[in-house]
Amino acid sequence: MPSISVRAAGAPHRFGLLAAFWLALLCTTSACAAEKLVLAVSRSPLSLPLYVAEERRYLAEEGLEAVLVDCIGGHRCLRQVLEGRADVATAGELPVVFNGFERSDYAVLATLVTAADDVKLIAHARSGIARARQLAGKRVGLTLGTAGHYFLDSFLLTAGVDPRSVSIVGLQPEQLLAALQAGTVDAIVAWEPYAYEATKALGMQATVLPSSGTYLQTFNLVSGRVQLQARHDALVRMLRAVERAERYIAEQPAQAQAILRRRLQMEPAAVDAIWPGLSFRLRLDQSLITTMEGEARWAMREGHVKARSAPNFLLLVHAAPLHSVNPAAVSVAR
Amino acid sequence: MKIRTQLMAAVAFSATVGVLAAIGVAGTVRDEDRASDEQARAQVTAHEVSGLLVLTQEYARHADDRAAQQWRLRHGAIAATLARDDVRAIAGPTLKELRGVAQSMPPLFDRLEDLAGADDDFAARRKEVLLDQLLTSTQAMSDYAHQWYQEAAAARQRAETRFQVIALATPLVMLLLLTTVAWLVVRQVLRPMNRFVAATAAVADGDLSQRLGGHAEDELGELSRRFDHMTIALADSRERQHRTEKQLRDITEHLPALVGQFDREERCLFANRVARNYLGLDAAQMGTLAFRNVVGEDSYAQHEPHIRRVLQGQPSHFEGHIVRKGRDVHFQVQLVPQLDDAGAVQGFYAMTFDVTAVRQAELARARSEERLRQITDNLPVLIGYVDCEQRLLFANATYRDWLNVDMKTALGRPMAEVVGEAVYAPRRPHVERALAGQRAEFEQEIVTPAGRRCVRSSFIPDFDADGSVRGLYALSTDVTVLKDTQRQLQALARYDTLTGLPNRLQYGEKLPEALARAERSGHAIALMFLDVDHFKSINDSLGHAAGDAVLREFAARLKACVRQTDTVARLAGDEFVVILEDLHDESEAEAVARKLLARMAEPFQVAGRPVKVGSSIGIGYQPHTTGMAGGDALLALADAALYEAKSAGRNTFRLRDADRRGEGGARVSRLAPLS
Repeated sequence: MPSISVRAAGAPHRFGLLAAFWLALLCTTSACAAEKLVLAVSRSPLSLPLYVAEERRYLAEEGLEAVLVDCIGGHRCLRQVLEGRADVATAGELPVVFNGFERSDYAVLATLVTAADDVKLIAHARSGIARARQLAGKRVGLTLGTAGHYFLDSFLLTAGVDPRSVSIVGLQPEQLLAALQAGTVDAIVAWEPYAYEATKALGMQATVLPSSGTYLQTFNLVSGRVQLQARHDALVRMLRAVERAERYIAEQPAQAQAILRRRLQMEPAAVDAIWPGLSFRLRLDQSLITTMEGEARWAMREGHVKARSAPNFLLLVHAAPLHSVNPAAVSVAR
Repeated sequence: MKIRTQLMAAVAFSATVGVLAAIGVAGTVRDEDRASDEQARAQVTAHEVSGLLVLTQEYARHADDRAAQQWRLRHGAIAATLARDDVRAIAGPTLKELRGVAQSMPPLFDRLEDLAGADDDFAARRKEVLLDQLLTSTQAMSDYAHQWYQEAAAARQRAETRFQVIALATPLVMLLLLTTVAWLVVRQVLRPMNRFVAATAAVADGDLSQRLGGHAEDELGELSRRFDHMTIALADSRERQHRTEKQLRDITEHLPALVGQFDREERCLFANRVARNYLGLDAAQMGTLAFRNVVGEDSYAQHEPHIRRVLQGQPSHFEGHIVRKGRDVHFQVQLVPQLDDAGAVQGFYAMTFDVTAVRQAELARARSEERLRQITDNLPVLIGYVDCEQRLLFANATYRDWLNVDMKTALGRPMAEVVGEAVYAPRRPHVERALAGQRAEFEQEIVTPAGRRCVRSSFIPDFDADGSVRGLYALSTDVTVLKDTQRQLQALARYDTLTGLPNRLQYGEKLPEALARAERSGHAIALMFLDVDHFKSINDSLGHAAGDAVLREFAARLKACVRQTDTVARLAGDEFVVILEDLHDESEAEAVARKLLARMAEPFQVAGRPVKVGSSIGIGYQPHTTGMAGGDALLALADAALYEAKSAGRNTFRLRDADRRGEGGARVSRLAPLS
């Protein structure tokens, strides 16, 4: 009910105001100011914890002046971190893997969420694609070096289709729908909210191929090495705020969904469709390493990278801040 | 709030705390057990998953059926553990993820198995992908199991902490409650009770100024207020009692009587001031002196039988007499027993009045009364007193002498009975008049043993202070002699001594009476006025004696000529009048006139020789009409007629009718023949 949800949402807000007030008071007396933190946040439902942390002022209450910078696709957000334009990025593990072959000046702080159905393979009806095997010889648009790329290969290989028989067309997420509509590709691999937007735009012309269970994607908070050393406290506070936001999502899913709808202009049906596959739990698991190692092997095997050996992903994971916030959330070997 | 309510609330609260603690402990133990179970299950699952990881890698390396079989068995075991209903997910999302990953693995493994025989490049690539997916999933399972274990451990820790909190808090709350109840009991019950006990002890010691001043709205507050009301009432009551006692003591002290209190052994316990002064007692002697010693032998002898009586519980009183300092002393004693609550005689009170003065006054009054009695009894006057009920309350001895009243029985009886109805009836209106407040005087004839008596009575009202009449004094004196004398004198004055006829005075009485009778009867009346013709010459020639003789004879003849009922009177000298009553007409009067003239014409024997005497008669006639003439008018009419008769030559009569005066006065007048 609205009244309950407002009250439930309002109570921490008031508490937050109070905390901010004390913090402000503390800062005026000790000549400190809120610490600025630039967050490059992928425009995705998987970034919901950061939207919540901002909207509910959890970040502010942690003394952070967080600046959320929207970017389309985690690979671009990570790019901003790598280029020093942002302190923290939200990104899937694939951009971490691909960048890992070239550099090691960044690290994953924590996994925000795991998603079972975020990435979808959508074919245009005119291509006649209804099953995986029909993809052979077809043009598939996707964003290279991202979860979409790995998803398609896994999907094809699992289904017994050689990825090399499929023409991959590298496109940015925002270009996929137009390419599909224009006929320059027969199918696209897109994640939310672009997948929903595409199916909605194509209507009856869209065919979403069943792919459940193919790929359990992770979405992570990634920061540059420089920040890991210098901004440890800020990162800890950020993680604390994010964890608080994830608790809020678990306890007030309806309010959290409302925030998501508002931030991404998503329709309720779209949110309802993906919500069950999302698991918001701040963590740093060993499986992330395993996943990235598998993905690195795939990238080398399929020739997506020239490197002959996989990087040591353990070095691309920095557990200390999360350990400070919640030791139980860290199961990665350090 | 009432103490009862507070205590009930405390009991209810402690019971609630106890029940909540029990529920809390039970819930905590259950949660702890459950968390412990899940922890164990997560541990087992983690162990199974690590086994699964090894089997996956082993299968990847050797691809033998044994490894595949074991993989499936182990995966089945894990799936079975996760599918159990009692796995309730302290870690809900974690378990969900775990299950989801677990469910996604068999198809991957199936595909991997399918590729066992293939050894081309594509198959190799597929195998690697599938293997990587299986390894990743297995590692994810391991992570989830670890997370599950962590969350179960945390839940267990929370349950333990809760148990510790409850285990610690419950006794603390109970202790707090006990302390509160104890504090409440001390504050609300024991302290007020202590104050109450101290106050009641003080009241018991006679201090009625104790006030608790309770304002609390509980039972003890109410009790305190009632106690205060009670002590106030007691103090008031004691104050009144003291006042009453003081008043009684003052009264007793100043009572003009000897008041004393004595115990069963007749020892004097109290004597008032009068008694102490009179008997020469000292307050210090109280309780030691015996009654006999106090009052003296003579007095004690008179008291003694009454003291015996009062010590048996009977009040007693008597009058006594002693001679003290050569003087007669009369006293009156009241003895009242002093009884305890059980009715047993503890002693007695004695109250003695000196009644000497009273007795002497009574004696003096008795003597005075006797003197008055003697005086009144010997007065020739009836002296009595009658109350407003007309009862005779006092009567002197004259009543006995005059009215033959039995003095022994007369007093107190109604007057009518005492003196007899015949005597009393004429007196009654005068009695009533006097009892109405007006003095009444009257005369009455009574018959006494000594004969008729005429008494003059005065009834004088006896007024009460408020103006009402209490009775009357009756004084009756004997006026018989006076009356007889008066009668004789009266008779003398009404008759002509020469002729024995009624004189002018009596004529003056008789004529109005006759006129009144004529008016009543309707008969006519006539007044004859007559004189002796030439009487002066008789007197002059024959002397006064002869004149007197003529007058006497004239009178006698006149009387003889008229009826007994007719009145003949001598007015003066030779003037006579006759009143004729019951006439029917003028002729009857004229007949009488003629008869008189005839009779008077006969010679009178005067000094032995005949003397001729005549008479002239004037008649005033008054027929019965509505307007009767007065006596004087009728006489004037007769006088006028007489004048006419004389003018007519005497020895005749003339008649004038009163109704015809308007015709010139004279009317038919006939000459009467003289012979």
